[in-house]
Amino acid sequence: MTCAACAKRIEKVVGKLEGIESVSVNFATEKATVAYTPQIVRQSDIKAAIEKAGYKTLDLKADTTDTEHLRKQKEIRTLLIKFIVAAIFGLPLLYLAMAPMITVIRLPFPKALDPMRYPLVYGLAQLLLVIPIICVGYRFYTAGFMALIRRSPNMDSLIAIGTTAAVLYSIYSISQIVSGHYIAVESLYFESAGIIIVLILLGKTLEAISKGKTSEAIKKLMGLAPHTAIIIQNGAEREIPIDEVEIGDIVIVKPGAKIPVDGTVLSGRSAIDESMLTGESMPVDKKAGDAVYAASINTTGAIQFRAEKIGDDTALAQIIKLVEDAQGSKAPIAKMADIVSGYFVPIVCAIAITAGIAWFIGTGGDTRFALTIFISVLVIACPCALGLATPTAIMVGTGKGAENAILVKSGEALEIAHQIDMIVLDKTGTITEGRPTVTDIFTTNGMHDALLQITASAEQLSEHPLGQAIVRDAQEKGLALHAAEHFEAIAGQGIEAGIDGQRIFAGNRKLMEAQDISLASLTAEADRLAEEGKTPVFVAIGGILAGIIAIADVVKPSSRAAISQLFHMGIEVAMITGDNEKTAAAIAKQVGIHRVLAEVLPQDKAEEISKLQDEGHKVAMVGDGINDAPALVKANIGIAIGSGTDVAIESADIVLMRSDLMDVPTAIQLSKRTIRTIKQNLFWAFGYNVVGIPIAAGVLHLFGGPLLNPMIAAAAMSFSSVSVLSNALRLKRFKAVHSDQKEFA
Amino acid sequence: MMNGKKAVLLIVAIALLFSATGCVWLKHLDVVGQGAIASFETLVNTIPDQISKDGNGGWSLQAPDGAVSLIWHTDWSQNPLYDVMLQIDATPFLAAGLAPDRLPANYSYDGDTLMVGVKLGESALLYTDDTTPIQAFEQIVSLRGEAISYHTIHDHFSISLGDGNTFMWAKDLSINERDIVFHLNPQPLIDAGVDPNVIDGWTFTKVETHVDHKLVQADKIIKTFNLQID
Repeated sequence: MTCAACAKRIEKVVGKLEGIESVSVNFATEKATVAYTPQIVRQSDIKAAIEKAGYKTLDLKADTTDTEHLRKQKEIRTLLIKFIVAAIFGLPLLYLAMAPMITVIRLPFPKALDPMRYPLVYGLAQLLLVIPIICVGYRFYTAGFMALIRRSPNMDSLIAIGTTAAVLYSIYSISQIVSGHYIAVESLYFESAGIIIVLILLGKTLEAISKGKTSEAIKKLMGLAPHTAIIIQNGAEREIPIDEVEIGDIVIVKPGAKIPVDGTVLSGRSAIDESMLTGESMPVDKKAGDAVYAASINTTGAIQFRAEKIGDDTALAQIIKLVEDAQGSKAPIAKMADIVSGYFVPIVCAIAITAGIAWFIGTGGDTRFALTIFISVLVIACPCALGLATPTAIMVGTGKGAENAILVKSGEALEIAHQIDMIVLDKTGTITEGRPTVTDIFTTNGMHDALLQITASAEQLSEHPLGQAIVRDAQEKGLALHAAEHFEAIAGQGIEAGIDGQRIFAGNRKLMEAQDISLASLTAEADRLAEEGKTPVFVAIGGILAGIIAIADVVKPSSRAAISQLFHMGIEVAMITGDNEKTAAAIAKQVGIHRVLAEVLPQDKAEEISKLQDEGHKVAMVGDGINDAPALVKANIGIAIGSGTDVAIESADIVLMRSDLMDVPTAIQLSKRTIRTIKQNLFWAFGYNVVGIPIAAGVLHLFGGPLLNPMIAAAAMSFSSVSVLSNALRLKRFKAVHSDQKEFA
Repeated sequence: MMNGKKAVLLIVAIALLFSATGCVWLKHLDVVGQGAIASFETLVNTIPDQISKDGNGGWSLQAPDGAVSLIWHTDWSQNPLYDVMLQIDATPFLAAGLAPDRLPANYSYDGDTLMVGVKLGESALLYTDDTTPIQAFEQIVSLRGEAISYHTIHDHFSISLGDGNTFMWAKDLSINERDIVFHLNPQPLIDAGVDPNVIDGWTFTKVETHVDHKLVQADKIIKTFNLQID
């Protein structure tokens, strides 16, 4: 494929096949994504259709990462060599053509090539110099004329027609010189054809190099995986290529080595650096039963684990696929550009012919002038920049997101995300840590640790999150737990246990009332805790209230700042939760949210999103992918936070691998920057054409203004591609802006 | 499509072949030179009465009014001063104020005749048969081709006589109204006291001409003839 028109053509021919549900071809990544019904159409049919249209296909599965990388490097090398060869012949050709015209200073010029004295030698010398240039640029002609024959002209067609016209007319001028019409020496256009090819090859070389850079994110991700793994086979260690690891293999990872595949730890303990997956720089402690992921780094101890997910099934591979799919997807704005470029080339051909004929008639038959106009219009109008404008920005944008642990599933998600004016945040696990923790301990006798120890001892058999929070707190404080003599969970109220011969009750007000235990001594504290949105666990020992352990799901450290940032960006923030109104209100107050949707059952969250959309908002929902799936799908943009699970990836449009709420405004900012870059690129791409075509067609010349020399047109056209790519690469410097402004809460 | 190496080898081979046979090729490729010879021959054949042998071993093409002649020699080894020149009746120049002792070195004066021209070389020149005017002219094209030019403006060939003096003749005598033109650089004559505006039989005017590929308007003293060829 040489331009977006080629991509459009492939979509058209494949789309016509029966059994094809959808087809999307990305010019920038050179990949086609086809959804089809295998019972109706086969892969070989699809490939045949593409090859019949004149394009080669590569089997993606067979084309490994390394092979594709090598292929791209070879492509860059080939283009570079072609450009250098073309330039070696192009520069003297340009000099021959231009030096006699430069009259301000006298440039050295061989007498044997004096155009006035030896016009035939002059012309033939230019012809000899242009032939090698045409040879190295032959692809433009084969692809361009084939496309023309197939009635699907593309960028190459414009170049092929324009330069062929220039060369043929120049050869005709040479024949005129031989016939004695020496004045035809002024009608040679070999340098125009040659320099057009040189400049386009330069543009293509820079384009290939830049494309390589735009997909660096993928390369970096792919480079994370190790190439070998050490497995235990027949009691002995054996190092094998990573592709040979099978599910069920026992894999050993020594300190400093990378985890080769996903699995579950069988033995050993270590701290694993999972920053490549989660972005968290602190290594995570792993022991038997914990999951480990490919490409994460084993830092301290040696571990053995069972391989459970290999190859394309690892979390890393899933992330890579997600980023690749996002890069290959089309934003609505890109589809518009594709439609335009599909019609663009035929329209430009029509303009070129019309302008050429009009000037031929208008100048009373000046073929030279008409030809210059014709060639200039064809060359300046090349839509190659248009085809690059959107995909390059999306490639860099999604790649940048991946670097920041923000996975964007599609270009469409990027485009919609920048339109969001309301974000609904789930409470538990999104705004809060999602893990209840002990926040306060009140006692009647001032012995906090003792109360905690005995309550934790009572709760150690409890499966309730509140009970587990108390046990965790005691363990963290290093308090020894005593065995319970007996234990009973009282549904909806709390627990009763026997510890060291004492009868312990721990639970809510209902439990205390049922056991006729007075709360008078700590009523004020209990009320205050409720106001703060904390859950009081009343503890009675031997029938008397001993104290209150307050438990709350703590707000994440970054939540308030993140919400403030969203307000600053002009986005309204609401909180949705199944929790009671008081708790919800208290949390909302902490983080500065005014709009609270409380006591919402999980199955009703999607309905609440719908109501907000009915108010006219473009709504993003942020939650964990598991419980909030329906709401995530319902929202205009679903953002799953703190999870790389299959469910999250399935239901969300954007996956935030870290648990940091600050990634939400970052993702929105990235989206805005990417869309802005796309619009800038389209401006550059269209701008060159919109301004250049009329000038090339001679509109300004009608009023005494300038014409556009074909070589200048070629330079401008190459420059437009380079400027679009360079602008897209600027996205690599994206950094989220977190303003230290006053909070709007 | 042949691979890159083969393509490069082919190009190099063509270039070497061309270099080796360049001289031969250049002669055949010198369309202006060949055209100049053909049109000069037409001119000579058109006005045979104006063509005569010069007393010093050259050929003379005399203007219809006899006031100036183009002389080109057959043997460049014999002439100390000029191999091609204009021989001009000095009378109108003298009348216009010419002080012959103020003429520059490339001018000669022998009382009633001015001569201005250029040495082309010291070669004896070889001829297969008796020297004809055209054969002698061909030697100029072959050996001093840079002295011959083609001017697109008026569709003329010219032979340079040095210092801005030229003789021009039409490429196609049948369609050109200025069939032969004698050009003199006015400045040396002005420096020698001539008033260019009052030279009888000559015109002082601006002429479009190419100098170093640049089209310029140059002052010239010219004498033009339309030979009225059908």
